[in-house]
Amino acid sequence: MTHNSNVEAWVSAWGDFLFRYALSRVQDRDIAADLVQETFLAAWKGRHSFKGEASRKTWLTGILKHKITDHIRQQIRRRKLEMALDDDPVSPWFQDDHSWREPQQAWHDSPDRLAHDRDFRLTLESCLHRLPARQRFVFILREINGDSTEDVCKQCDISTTNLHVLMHRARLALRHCLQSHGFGASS
Amino acid sequence: MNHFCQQASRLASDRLERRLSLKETLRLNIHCLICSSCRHYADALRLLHATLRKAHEVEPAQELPAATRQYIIRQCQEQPE
Ligand SMILES: [Zn+2]
Repeated sequence: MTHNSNVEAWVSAWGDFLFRYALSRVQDRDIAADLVQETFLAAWKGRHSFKGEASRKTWLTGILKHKITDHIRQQIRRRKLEMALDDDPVSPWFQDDHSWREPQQAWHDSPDRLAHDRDFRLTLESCLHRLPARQRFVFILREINGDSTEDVCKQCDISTTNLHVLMHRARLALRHCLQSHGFGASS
Repeated sequence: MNHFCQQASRLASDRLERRLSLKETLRLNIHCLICSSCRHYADALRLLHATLRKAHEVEPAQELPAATRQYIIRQCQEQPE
């Protein structure tokens, strides 16, 4: 058996990398593990069709990316109902004359400190979970993973303008949620 | 009179997504000079943006669970050549 057809070698070489890739996109350990599992099974079945024009890692990542896209689209479809309530989502933050409902507070902090602040990360996680599904996925892919606009639009099946609207709504809701938990609230 | 705040908040977000036109940049910056809410909001978005990029780098290393590892190996080895 050559190295390339040894599944144990595959899993030990790329298992952790693929798991981290999936986890940062779906934010759930069980789902991430399932997606990686499906990826290896599909890759193993199709191993004879691998021509070696890309690296094995790129090939596996490509398969995983498809699985993640399927998962995200499925989640978004399943939560259609939640989205219908989402028609005029800037109204909670602005009055009829387009001014802020509540004054925005200054948030004095540094990215370095916040990134290492466990309390901030837990709060952010819970604030993210309160977002409507589509806003959450788009925000995570774009802002946390730094995926390109084009990639995110393809994965979530939306236009660029849609993406900008969803990011805008997600940021308004997150800023409000973080402020209500004391991050950048008036002291 | 309509306020510019709702539009300014959109521009503050868009600025992190695309290149604003010169006109858009000017409108946003001038508005932020006179409106503390929008200035604070725009600054907060920048702070959040920078923090999330950082947070991604300092994330602890995650390993594929051992049970999943074993399951994959077993399933693949059981498949006919
Ligand atoms: Zn304003």
